[in-house]
Amino acid sequence: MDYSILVKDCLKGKPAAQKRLYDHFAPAMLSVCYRYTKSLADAEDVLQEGFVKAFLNLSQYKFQGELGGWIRRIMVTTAINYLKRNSRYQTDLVFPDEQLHVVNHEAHPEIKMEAKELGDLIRQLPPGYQTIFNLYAVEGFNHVEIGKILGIKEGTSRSQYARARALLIQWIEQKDNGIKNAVYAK
Amino acid sequence: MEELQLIPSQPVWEKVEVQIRKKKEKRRFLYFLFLPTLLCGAILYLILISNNRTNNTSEGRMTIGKLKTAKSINHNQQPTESTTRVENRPKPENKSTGGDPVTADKSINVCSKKTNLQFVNAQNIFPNKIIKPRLASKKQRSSGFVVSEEPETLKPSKNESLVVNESPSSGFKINDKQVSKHQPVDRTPGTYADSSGIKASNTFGANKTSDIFSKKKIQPDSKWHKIASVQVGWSQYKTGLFANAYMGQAYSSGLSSGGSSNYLYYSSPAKKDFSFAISAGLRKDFKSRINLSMSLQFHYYTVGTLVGQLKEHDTIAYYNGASFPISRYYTNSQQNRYIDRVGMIEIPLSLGYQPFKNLPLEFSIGASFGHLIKSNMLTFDYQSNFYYYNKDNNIKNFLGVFSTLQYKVGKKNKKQITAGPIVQFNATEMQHYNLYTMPHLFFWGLKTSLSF
Repeated sequence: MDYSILVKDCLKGKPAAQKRLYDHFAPAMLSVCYRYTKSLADAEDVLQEGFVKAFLNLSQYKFQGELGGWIRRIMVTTAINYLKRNSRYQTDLVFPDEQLHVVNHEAHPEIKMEAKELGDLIRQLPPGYQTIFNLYAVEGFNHVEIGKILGIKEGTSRSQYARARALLIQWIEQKDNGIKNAVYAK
Repeated sequence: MEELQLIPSQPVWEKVEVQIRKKKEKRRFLYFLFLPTLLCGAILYLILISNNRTNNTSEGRMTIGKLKTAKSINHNQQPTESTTRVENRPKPENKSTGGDPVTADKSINVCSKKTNLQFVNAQNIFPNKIIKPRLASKKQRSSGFVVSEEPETLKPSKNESLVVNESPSSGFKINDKQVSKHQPVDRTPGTYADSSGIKASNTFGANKTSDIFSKKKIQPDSKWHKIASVQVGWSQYKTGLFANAYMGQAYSSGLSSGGSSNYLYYSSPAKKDFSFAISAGLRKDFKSRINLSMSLQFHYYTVGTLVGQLKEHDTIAYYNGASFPISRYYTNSQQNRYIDRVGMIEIPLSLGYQPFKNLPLEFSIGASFGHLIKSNMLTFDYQSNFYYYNKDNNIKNFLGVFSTLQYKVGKKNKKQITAGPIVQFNATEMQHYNLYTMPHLFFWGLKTSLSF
C-alpha cells in the first residue's frame, strides 16, 4: 500500500482517503489502545481521540518512518493522557517513589500463550503496572523514557515493571497448573 | 502482540469524521476572521499613507519657507551670481524714508540665493513701513507679512539685497514680465524689496501661493473615486451540486466493509441559471496604471436542480453522520425544476492593472468576502434518495476570488465607464461536509462600472 499518496489525499481533505487510512490502521491501533485500558469502550474512545489527532497533525508526518509507527506513537500518548485524565484510572495510576523490591532479572520462565490471552492478563494488571509493562515490554521504551512520559522516577518505573512482570508470571503459572490439573483429572 | 487486531465499531469513524470537520471549520472561521482584519488594516494603512503624503506636501513647503527664513537671517553669506547681478544694479533713491540711509538699510534680508523675482513699487503699497519676517497674530500669519510702524534695528545685508527699479505700474515683475500684484507669482520663495531697501522674502507670503500650487501639484489620482457597478451573468455549482459520482462510489465501497448502508444514491446534475450583482464602493489610483477598489455588493445567485414531487410527511434525513427528522422533502425523480436561490452580501476587494499605456484595458484580480443572507438551497440525502431543505446545512461565510477584464471609456479622473467580462469562484463550499454535496458557486458574466 502506497502510504504517500494516501497521506497526500488525506491532507487534501478527501474523505475517501481518510476512510481508507482509518480502515487500514484502526484494527491494529485499537488493540494498542485496548492494552492500556480496561474496556473496549475506553479503547475506542482513545482510538477516536488518537485518530482525530493523527488526521489533524498529518502534515507533520515527514514520510521518514513507518506511518503505522507514527500513528501508534500518537495512540500510546493519547492512551496515557486518557488514563491520566480519566477519574476511573487516576487512583490506580499513582506511582509511589519508594523502591519496591529487588528485581530478579534471571528468572525468565518460558511463556507460550496466545497474544489475546497475554493481552487479557496484562489488562488485569493494576493500571499503573499495566501502563509501565506495556511501555517497556511491548512498545520498547526504556525506563528513562517511561519516567519522562509518566512523570515518575526511573527507579519507580523499574520497580513497577518488576512487580507487573512477577504478577504476570504468577498468573501464567497458576493458569498452567490449572490446565495441567484439569488434564490430570480427566 | 502485534498480530492481535480488533475491529472498532462503526460510530468510532463517524465521530472521528465529525470531529475532523468541526476542527477544520474552526480553523476556517479563524481564517475568515484573519483575512478581513488584514484587509481592513491594509486599507487603513493606505488611507493613512495617502493622508500623510498630502500633509507632507504642504508641510514640506512650510519647512522650506522656514529654512529659507533661517538662511536669510545669516548675513554673512557670500553673494551668488543672481544676487551679485542685482547688487550691481544702480540703487534707487529712497523716497519714502526721506532718504535716511540708516532707516532704509534697517531691513531684514530674507533673500533666496537663486531668486530673480522682483517686487516693484512696494513702497506705494506700504509707505513708511518696514516689512519684517515675524509671525505675529493668526490673521497676520496668513498674509505672511508683519507690517510695523517702527523701523527695525537689524543690520542690512548688502550682499544679498535685491534692489528693484521703480515701475510705473504697481505689481510684480518676474523676469521682466508684468504680473498683477494679486496674482500668485512664483512657487519659489523669493524676495520682495521696495525702492528704499526694505526687503522681505516671499517665503512668508508664499503660503497662499503654495496652497494654490499644492492643490495643483496633488495628483487627482490620490483621491478616492466612487464607483457603482452592475454584474449580470450565470451562476452554477462548480462540481454540479450533487454530481460528484466518483467520490460517492469510492465512499460507497468504503461503507460496504462495515457501514450501515451499502448503496448510495446519485442526484440529478445542477444547471446554470441567472445571477446578478449590484455594488457601490471606492477606487483609488496609486500609479497611473494601478488601482485598488473596494465595495459593498449584493449578489444574487440562482442554480437549477431537477427534483421530483414534494412529499409532506415525517421522515428521517441523514447528514454528516447525524440523523434528524424532517417533515417535507422532494423525491429524486427529475420531474420538476427547483431553483436554488442564494442571496449574499459581499465585500469585493480588487487590484487593477492596465498593462498597456495606450490601451485602456484593465485587468484586475480580487478576493470577495461574502455572507449568506438567504438561501433555499436543497441538500441531497444520498442514503434516503431525496432532497430536503435545512438551513443549518449551509455555510454562512464565504471567500471568493474573481478576475475581470475591463475596457475603460471616458477621461481619467473624471466620469469613467468600464465594462467587460468577470468570473468569480467561491472557494468556500456552499454546505458543510456532505459526501456528494460539496458545491462551490461559480459566476461568470458581464460587469459594468461607473466611477466618478
